[in-house]
Amino acid sequence: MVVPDLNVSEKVVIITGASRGIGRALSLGFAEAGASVALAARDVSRLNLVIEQARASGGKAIAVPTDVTIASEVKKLARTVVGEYGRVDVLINCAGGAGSRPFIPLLEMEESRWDSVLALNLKGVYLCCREIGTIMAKQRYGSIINFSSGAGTRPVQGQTHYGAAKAGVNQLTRVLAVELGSSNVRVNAISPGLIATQASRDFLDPKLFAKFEKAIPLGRAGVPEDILGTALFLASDASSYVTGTIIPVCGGPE
Amino acid sequence: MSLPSFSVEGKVTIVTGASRGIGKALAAGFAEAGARVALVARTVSELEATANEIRSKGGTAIVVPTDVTKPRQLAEMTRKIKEEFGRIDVLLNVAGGAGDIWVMPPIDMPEEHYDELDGRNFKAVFFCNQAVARVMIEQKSGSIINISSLSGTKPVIFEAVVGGFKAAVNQMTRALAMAWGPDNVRVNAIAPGLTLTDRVKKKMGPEFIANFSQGIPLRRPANPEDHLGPALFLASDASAYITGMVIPSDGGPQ
Repeated sequence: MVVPDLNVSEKVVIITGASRGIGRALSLGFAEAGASVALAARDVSRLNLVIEQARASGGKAIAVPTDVTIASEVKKLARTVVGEYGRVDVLINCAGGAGSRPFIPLLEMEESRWDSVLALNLKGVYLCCREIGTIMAKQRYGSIINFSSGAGTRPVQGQTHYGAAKAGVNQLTRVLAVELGSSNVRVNAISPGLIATQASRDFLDPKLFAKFEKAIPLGRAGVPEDILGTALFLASDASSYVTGTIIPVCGGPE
Repeated sequence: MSLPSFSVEGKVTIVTGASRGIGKALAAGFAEAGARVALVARTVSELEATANEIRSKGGTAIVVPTDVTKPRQLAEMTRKIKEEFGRIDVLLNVAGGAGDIWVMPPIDMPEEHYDELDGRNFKAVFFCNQAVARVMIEQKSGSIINISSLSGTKPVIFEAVVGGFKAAVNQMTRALAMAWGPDNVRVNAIAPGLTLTDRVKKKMGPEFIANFSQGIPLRRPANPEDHLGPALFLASDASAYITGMVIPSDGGPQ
């Protein structure tokens, strides 16, 4: 019997939302694990900082400045990566977020805010899955990892926009797994809970952060390495029979 | 960032239902990955055969003949394993399934068959979790992996009763994750789809298997080894922040 391993060293991996937070952590982690990474984000200067760090750990990394909500830019991303590396093995759709005012009651929600959150979190995933999925289906090999959120299943007040988009990502994940299964392309999602990053520490006051941690069965917030472990599992051949599933990395059911 | 470890090297791992099928494959795989395994089932001769195979490849295995439907025997099993190895890191609860009373229209199910299925698929799982968790809670660490089934979420006509118990195992897994999370004991499940064990091949026959496979997004049934990757992931520290999760290992949503 061959023991499956989490080796991604031969793999070409696209990561969107790579300039900060979890996307940045995954970019550095996959580069360190030996993958050839293509990093996409809008913010070029921040993206270049991540590239420098990724290369410092000996990894192969290219930057492809991309707005994932614009079809022509996503097409260019796909073209660039295939031009550079010859194929795409893994797509990690990390670009997302609830925007500048993450909690806002629906009755006060401006149309522009709704549109921009839906575009970033759902349309961006659709566009990236369509362009990169086309390449993977032709290769008859690939693993797509979308990022969801607990807000996609549990009602979070003030997050109708973000929650609806993430619920959409969950169902997109399941349906696309069925559509691409016969082409040997797997589609799964990770749904992170409270993860201790600079952003979440800045965003939540320490008292609230501690209160959230207390409600988590494992009694702590997650760290970026926790997300990396699950992403490596889903990217590697150790999960070759797992598709269409959403894995919460959240310290347990609340 | 430190890369998450998928190693189970040296981890003391109990495998119930280890004499055949998925249990045997997982036991062999964990041993090859360096775990110290305790093989549990009723039939000593079959367990000894598995243990000898493992030892011939340099692995560590002990045999603990146990009827898992008897809580007192489970307590005794736990005591022996703790005594032998000094600790228990992982429990792979594989014993279960419909056995020889598998293909039976629900309208014909007699009470003794129902009770037998309950004993193997639900009662045994709970008391095994309980017996082993007592050790893990004391250690403040451990990972329990219950083997559920696709029939716990997808309605399968001939598995009305087994499927019901598997759905119950899923919910029990989630609740136990909440109960034991504060003591750093994780409880997850793997829900395999159609898996080509010797028993399944004999019982189902090639025609049924080919037809069923058409409905699987990845278009193939699982081999027992396909579940090894998810099991290693859930047993290792790479999944340290995941508890209460039922991971489908079924080739996609059906």
